[in-house]
Amino acid sequence: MNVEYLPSYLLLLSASPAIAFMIHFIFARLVQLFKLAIAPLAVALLAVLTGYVVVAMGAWVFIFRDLPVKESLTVDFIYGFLVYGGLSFAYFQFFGMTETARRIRILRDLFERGGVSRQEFQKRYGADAMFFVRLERLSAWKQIELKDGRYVLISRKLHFIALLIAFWADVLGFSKNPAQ
Amino acid sequence: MLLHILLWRLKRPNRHALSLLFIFIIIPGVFLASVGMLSENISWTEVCGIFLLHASLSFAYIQVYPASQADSPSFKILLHVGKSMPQGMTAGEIQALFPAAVLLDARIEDLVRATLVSEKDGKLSLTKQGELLIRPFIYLRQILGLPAGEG
Repeated sequence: MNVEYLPSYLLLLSASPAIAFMIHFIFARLVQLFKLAIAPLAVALLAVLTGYVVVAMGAWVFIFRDLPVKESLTVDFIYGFLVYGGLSFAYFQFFGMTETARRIRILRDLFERGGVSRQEFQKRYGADAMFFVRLERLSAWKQIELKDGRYVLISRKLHFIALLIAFWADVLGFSKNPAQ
Repeated sequence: MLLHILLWRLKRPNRHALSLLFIFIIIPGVFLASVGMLSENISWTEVCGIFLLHASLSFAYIQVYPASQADSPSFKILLHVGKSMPQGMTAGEIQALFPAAVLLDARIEDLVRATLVSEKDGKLSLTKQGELLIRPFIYLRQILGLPAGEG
């Protein structure tokens, strides 16, 4: 990597989560404007993927295009791909937490409604509701399907991620001591 | 990563997110800053470049981490349905895997342990830290014009 253009490249990559957010903002508003039936997580994913193109174009136009020697361009783009990949994935996960995380939902409920007892919580946000939301979501994502009264796997993608996460939970010792 | 695995297996900290930030961001940041100060072969710009790459991958890991810690119900459904193939599972059979305590109470306990929620006279309420943590999530959805997520 060339140290001369590195500061501006690092600056662009550091700003990439903000770029992903702006694209997400535009996409989310367009989906609402045209009343499109696209799940919020799908919109976020599309925005993050579009961000790859926007950041790469920005890097080319503002930094690399006018360089006299472009010998380390491949390394530079792989570096940018990894940095944007990490940061945009973190943004996507952050947004995903607002959509699906139980702890975020509990904190938000407490923020909006003040002190509530566990019983009130159970009533308002019962285990049944939480369970069926997840079944519906997995069906909408085409991961499972109801066939003759039984849920079956129709895609192995998320199932594979679930296996990886379960393996990692084992490595960290959660299966032995989940209560901590 | 090795320190993270060792610490989690030997004595798991109560504040997971803070501990992960310390292990993955603060310690490597201090180490790289020391390298930048002591070494003449590496410029500060290069140190920043290394740190940015490390931090971006670490943030991605820190965001994925809760799925392994919180026993995600969606993943649990997929694992059990996957195991039951080819016959699959009825909704009742899947539901039996999720007692109310697992879905809600365990998560409330997590939040109390992390001092984001406090319980007094049978009522749960947010602590200052909890309020600080939840605001960005609420504002993000407001800016995007989205209703609150279902959790």
